[in-house]
Amino acid sequence: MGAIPITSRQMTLEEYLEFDYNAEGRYEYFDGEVFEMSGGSPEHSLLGNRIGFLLQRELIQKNCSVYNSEVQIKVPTLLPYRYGDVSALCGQPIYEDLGNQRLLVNPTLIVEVLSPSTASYDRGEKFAEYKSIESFREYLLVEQNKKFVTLYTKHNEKFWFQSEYFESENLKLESLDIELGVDEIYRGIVFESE
Amino acid sequence: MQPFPKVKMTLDEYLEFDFNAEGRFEYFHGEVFETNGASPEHALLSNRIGRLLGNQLDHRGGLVFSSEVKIKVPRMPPYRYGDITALYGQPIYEKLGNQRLLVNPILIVEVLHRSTEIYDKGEKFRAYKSIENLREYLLVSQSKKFVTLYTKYNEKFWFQSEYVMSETLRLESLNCDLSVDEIYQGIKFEAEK
Repeated sequence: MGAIPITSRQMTLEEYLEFDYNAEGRYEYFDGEVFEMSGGSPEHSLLGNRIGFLLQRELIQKNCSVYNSEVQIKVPTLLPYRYGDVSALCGQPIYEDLGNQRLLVNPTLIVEVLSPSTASYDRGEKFAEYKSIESFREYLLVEQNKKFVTLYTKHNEKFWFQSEYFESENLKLESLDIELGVDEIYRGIVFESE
Repeated sequence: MQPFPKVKMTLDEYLEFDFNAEGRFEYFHGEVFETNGASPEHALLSNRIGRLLGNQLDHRGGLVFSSEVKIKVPRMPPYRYGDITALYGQPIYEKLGNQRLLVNPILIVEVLHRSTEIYDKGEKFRAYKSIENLREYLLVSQSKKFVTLYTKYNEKFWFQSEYVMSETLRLESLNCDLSVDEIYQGIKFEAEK
């Protein structure tokens, strides 16, 4: 996601909630500043949608929910909420009201398609914040300029497993009990170098 | 990393250039980039970590290298620079022209800065994994007390853990402990200046 501050002035939390509720895009709030979380590229949009589709296809027969980037995820250490590119869970979703918004409380998987402007945040500090979500088990990071996917799987409160996947490999999402093929994720995507 | 000259270089030209240069330059597909630390905090943190490791390793057969050592990275030849590199036992070097490349580091530390942190967290880690002896990769933020440790579990999986104020991390492969507060002692962050 690209992060662009949209106002030179600060917003109160109430102003932000009202603003984001009525806005067409997705905006995140950091200590009084508001940033637009734009995908920025057609590949970003394709990849987010593709992963949502692949998850949906595998999970359609099960009692699971797959969300696109519109869902507001409650992140206890980074209130009020954040946007991921795709998120999912099996079982009953739990929502919490915040003014007009309904925040998703219990995702087990969050996916971020990486953009140059936020890749470092997604690979570091945003992950640290997401870890405060009690149900959170898997974090998938998808490069958009090459076939390169990083998966973090929770081992215990302190340690997560990190693994990487490339062309022709499959990765296993244990919290959803499904597999994803790297080639399927990137099918039809043309990279700049090509 | 600051792209250094806009000109392309052959591998031979790069080796000659980097051998004679004062800074540290890395080579990517014919282009040469300077990998400079860019801030006093970067220099302080690298030096501090080197010293904390040296205090624990020097007297029991460990070696701690500064950012000058050239690390042979099979997946990303000819070599890369880390901020701190350490190992136990005998170092193994391989000659490449005038240079001697370190083949068997166990730990590599990168102090993060804005221009290279995406690379350090993603592609560079991916490349470092091709070093057979590497067991630990430590990423140190310079904008707050925040350290990320990767510890090798097997060929496919690494453990990731994070450490903040008042925590201590354990480097299993070197039998060393590092305290976050000690790493950052005396460092002033932007927000506090």
